[in-house]
Amino acid sequence: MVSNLGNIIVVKNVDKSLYRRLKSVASLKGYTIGEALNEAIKLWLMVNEVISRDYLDYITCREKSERTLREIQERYDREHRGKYVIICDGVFKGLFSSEKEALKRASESKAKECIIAKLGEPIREEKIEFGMGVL
Amino acid sequence: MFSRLKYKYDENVKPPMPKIVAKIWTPKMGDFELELMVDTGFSGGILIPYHLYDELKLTLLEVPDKYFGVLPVGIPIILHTALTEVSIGELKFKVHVHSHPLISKRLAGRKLLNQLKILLNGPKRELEVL
Repeated sequence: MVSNLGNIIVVKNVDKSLYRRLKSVASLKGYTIGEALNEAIKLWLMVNEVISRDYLDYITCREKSERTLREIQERYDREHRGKYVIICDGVFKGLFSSEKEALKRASESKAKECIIAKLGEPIREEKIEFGMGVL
Repeated sequence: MFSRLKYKYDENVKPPMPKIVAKIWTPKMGDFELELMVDTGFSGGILIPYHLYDELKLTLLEVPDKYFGVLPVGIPIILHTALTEVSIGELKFKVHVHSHPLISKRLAGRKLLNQLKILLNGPKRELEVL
């Protein structure tokens, strides 16, 4: 339950231990409780408003494509090294001799997502730095 | 004669921020013009909001590689990444375009900026590609 008394908002059922942690971290960082709560509410809204059903469908398709890519790599990596493979929504679409040809074919797809990969090349992981400009 | 590209700083940001205009090739619209804030703190190529990434069908040009980032508020995220061609005037590059639903900015990062000769003319509030 929430009561609104002008600028003061009373909220019932707040977890006391969470509130204590919030108070202590906010104080360490020089925030007031109100400022910390505003930041927390903004973050909660951002996460819950932007993550739609459509986005979750896309994530599911991407995961399926990653699984199929691993299978294709196991099967064709040596035999077709250097060729390009397209996988859309988890379905293997074919092997292509050039990147241009693969890009054209993937662009015409009606799928939710496609992965274009070069056979024989490992999947890399990279950390990306963000500055404060990202917020 | 080849004329130099000049872009006015974004005066809505205080203090004003340099920006650049790039065309990215997309499956949905072909060449699509984007205004990007210049951010040397961002190590990738281009960053755009997920709704735009999805709308332009960049989801069809994704790379198998994984790109991780940590937002300044400490939240770790896995970025969605497509590889496409970017043109700035007559110059063309293959650049990774990153995206995530928690991102709302359009940024040009170091992987793109390091391919260009740029003059930041602060007093004139103008970015010039040399």
